[in-house]
Amino acid sequence: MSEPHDNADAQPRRPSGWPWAALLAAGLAVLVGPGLAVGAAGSRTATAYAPAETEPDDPTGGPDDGAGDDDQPGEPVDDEPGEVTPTLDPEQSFGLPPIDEAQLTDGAMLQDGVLPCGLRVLVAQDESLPVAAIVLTIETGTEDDPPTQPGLVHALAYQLMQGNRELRPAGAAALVQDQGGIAGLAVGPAQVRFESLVPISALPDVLWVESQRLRAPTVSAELWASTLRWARRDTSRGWRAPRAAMAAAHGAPGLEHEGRTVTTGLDTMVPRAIGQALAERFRYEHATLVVVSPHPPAELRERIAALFADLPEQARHVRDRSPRWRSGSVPQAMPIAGETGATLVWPVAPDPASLGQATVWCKALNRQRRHAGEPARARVRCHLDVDPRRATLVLKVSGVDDPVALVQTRIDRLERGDDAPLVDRQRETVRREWSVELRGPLPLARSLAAARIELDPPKGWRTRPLAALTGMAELALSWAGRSFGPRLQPGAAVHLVALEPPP
Amino acid sequence: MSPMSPMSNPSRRIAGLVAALLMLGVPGCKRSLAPKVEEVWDEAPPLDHAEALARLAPPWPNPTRAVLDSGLITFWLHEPAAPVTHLRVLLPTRNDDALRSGAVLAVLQTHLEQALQSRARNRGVLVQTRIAPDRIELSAHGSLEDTARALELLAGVLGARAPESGLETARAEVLTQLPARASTEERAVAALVEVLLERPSGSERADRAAVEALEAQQLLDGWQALVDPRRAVLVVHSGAEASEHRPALRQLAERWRGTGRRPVPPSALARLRADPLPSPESRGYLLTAPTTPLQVLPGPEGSPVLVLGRVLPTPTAEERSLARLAQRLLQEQLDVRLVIHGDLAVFILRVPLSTRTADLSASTAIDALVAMAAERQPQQRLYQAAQLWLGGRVVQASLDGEDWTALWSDSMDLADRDDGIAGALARDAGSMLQPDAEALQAWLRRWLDPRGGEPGWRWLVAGASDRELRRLSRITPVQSLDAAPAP
Repeated sequence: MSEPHDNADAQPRRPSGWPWAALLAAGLAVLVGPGLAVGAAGSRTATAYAPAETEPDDPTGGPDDGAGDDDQPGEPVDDEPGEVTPTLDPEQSFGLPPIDEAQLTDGAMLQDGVLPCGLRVLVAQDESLPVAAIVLTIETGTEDDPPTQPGLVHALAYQLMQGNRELRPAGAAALVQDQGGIAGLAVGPAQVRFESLVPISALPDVLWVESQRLRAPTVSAELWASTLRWARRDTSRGWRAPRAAMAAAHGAPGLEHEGRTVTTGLDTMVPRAIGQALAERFRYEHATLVVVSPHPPAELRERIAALFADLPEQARHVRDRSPRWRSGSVPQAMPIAGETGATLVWPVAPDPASLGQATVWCKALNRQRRHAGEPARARVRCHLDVDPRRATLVLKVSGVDDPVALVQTRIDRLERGDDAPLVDRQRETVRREWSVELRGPLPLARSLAAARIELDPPKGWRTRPLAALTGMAELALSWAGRSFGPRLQPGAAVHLVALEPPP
Repeated sequence: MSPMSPMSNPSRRIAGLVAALLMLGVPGCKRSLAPKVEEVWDEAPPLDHAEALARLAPPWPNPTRAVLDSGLITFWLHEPAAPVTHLRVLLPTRNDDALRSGAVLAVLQTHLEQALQSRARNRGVLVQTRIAPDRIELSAHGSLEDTARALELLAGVLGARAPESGLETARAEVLTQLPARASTEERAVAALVEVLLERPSGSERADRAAVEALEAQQLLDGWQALVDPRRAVLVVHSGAEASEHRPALRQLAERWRGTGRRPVPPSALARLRADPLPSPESRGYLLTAPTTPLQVLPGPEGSPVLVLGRVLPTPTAEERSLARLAQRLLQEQLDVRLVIHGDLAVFILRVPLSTRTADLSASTAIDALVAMAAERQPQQRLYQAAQLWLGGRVVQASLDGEDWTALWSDSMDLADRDDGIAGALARDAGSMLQPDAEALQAWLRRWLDPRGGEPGWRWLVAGASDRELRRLSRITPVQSLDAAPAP
């Protein structure tokens, strides 16, 4: 989620022209209808669209610089690893109890269903403007790269824009852009998304495109070379936490490598191997199709189901992306070069409600007042690396000898309810920000694409409250008197410590 | 998009043709070839698709229109269950002598932005300013609970009587932001717009010297003329009804009042529309007699650029649609720009000049315009252009936060009376979706053929060296911008 109310954005340099002249000098974007700046045929290819996971904002309002500048070396910590709990508790993301959907009867509802081909479909309604957002999400990502082929999933995602028997290369993006829409691709550690925002007149075409996209993609040596050229243009994403720490916190070794690098090994892949890699990773039973449009969901779902009716029946098959929760009393110490013991890293569960809770928790930590017994320079700064499936909380502590003890004290205050008004203010702030942001169909579709993974969903359609899937239901209730639970305790974190000096 | 035809294989196609000929017993006599018919892709669009496109306007209800005690005209657009409020204030910039300088307007806009942002900080309200033809728009966006706070914020900023220190800070900021040397293109476009709209030099561009030379009283006079509620318009889009926020509106009217005696136009459109149209028939053609001389903008040499253009009358939805379609089609080959403001539009073509063959660059661009005017465009191509334009507009509105006030502002530029604003976007969309290839060709011949059609073309070159000017003088008379006006 981005920060919608940020007034501190740098202003672009002022042109010297005034109204008419400025509009006429501003170039085509202003003049031909603003949508064309991103949507015109030929003006921009789909692959030039910035992936959503490239540089998301830190939604906590946390500091963005210098938090560790005055860090002092921490004291040695107990490096005994805590107990690892590998099992998933799907009903409880963090400390807050799950929402009872049956009680959410007065808000907007959506349709949630699994088609016989294994595709999950979420259909929500937004009548504010005659536009529709369509997001095809595949629950695979760069952490699933084979160790010998880093960057494979990223490149394969681009290959899926090269068409198939029904679509010419880049035809899907052209179909969207020729009608004034925008099309994009987002590649993250555990999720790939094909996103479109189109006028409603183009909705049937885009639904058809998404019903075709994963069917026997075109593969050839020439197209693969073009795919790799596009993939090489993407830059790495900057994470606050070192990749090794993220991998340890989530218990996912695949997070350690940079998934956007196109290694030379990929250049030598033959079409047969590329086709096989695509067929293994990009399947409709791994995917979710999210549609947000002005149409009534119950009507639209039938049209969507018909587009996939000719695919063979498949059981839904989605990988569990829950972190390997730790439950010890002390954080797991992880030696990393350049670290001083002042940073702790927590995994965040892969669903919007947990992301919302982590955001509130982080904002509250950033705004806690120093306790009377704490050193005058004691400081705790919290950041959130946002990702739909691999979000990570990073806490940096300065001005104390024992960072873990200070963090424990601060968290205890939140747990005891000493700072309950502060927490509730932050919850209300986040609720307002999200309610404004999720008003747009594309942000809403992205949020729904991040909805909690159901490992064994029931067949058929369910009518469900929208707020339960976007995390807004949790944010709408007061949290006074409620605990955050053990998953936000220091024992669940990874503590980044200095490397041992060589003997 | 259709699956490959079973007869797409050439050998199978030939075999099929041979078999058919044998079955028919076609004699092997000589036959003259059928006359070659040029393909015209002229299908009408599918009906349901056209209907869906025609709905590409917000589903807004009739707004609540009110005139506050301060004279401010207010349109309140209520969208049930919307969790947000968008406020937009439209401040006209044309109908007052105090606002005829680009430098004054640059400082005033900067001050508005700074004042709004300093008050909005940490209050959950996002504020912005933007320029539109002959007006400055400022907007505030927040959640539904922030509605009263946002109105109070506007009252605080717009109700300031004499913000001298704020204006000085804004002047310093403008000087910081203005480039040390404006680009050739910026200077050329501003100068051409001033010529086309018959406006004084400096009204369409702020340069450093003009900003530095402004007197404090000029800025104060400009401020009081700009933020007069008797000439402004407020548009609100909210999940709340106007009646729920009467106290905040009353407070806005009390805190934000105009000073002095000024004419008070009774309708919103009368407030926003500027001076009468210039008279285009008094001027000439390009490269054809009576020729409009090429004017040379004084200034440093740089990348030479030629800008040419004209004013277009756009009093009806049909004419606006034809202008937009023409621009879309021309844009595929040329850097053309169009701004429509009610019954007036400005069309500009920008041509980067080759340093070796500047005359050829210029005549090629003009020939391309003439060629386009001579060619009939297929119906389907026009429909695609309309689809792209309309779709792009609504998609961009969604990306910009689904703010109906921005679209309402666009709609005001298309309406001819206040009670027609709500339907103006849809009316223009409907008109664009019924393109008539013959009508477009006739329109192009009349308005966008610089060698024929209606006179009224002007052109101007900036950044050119003596050598480039000599090349240009081979095809047209060249004169300094300060010289006598064109015939």
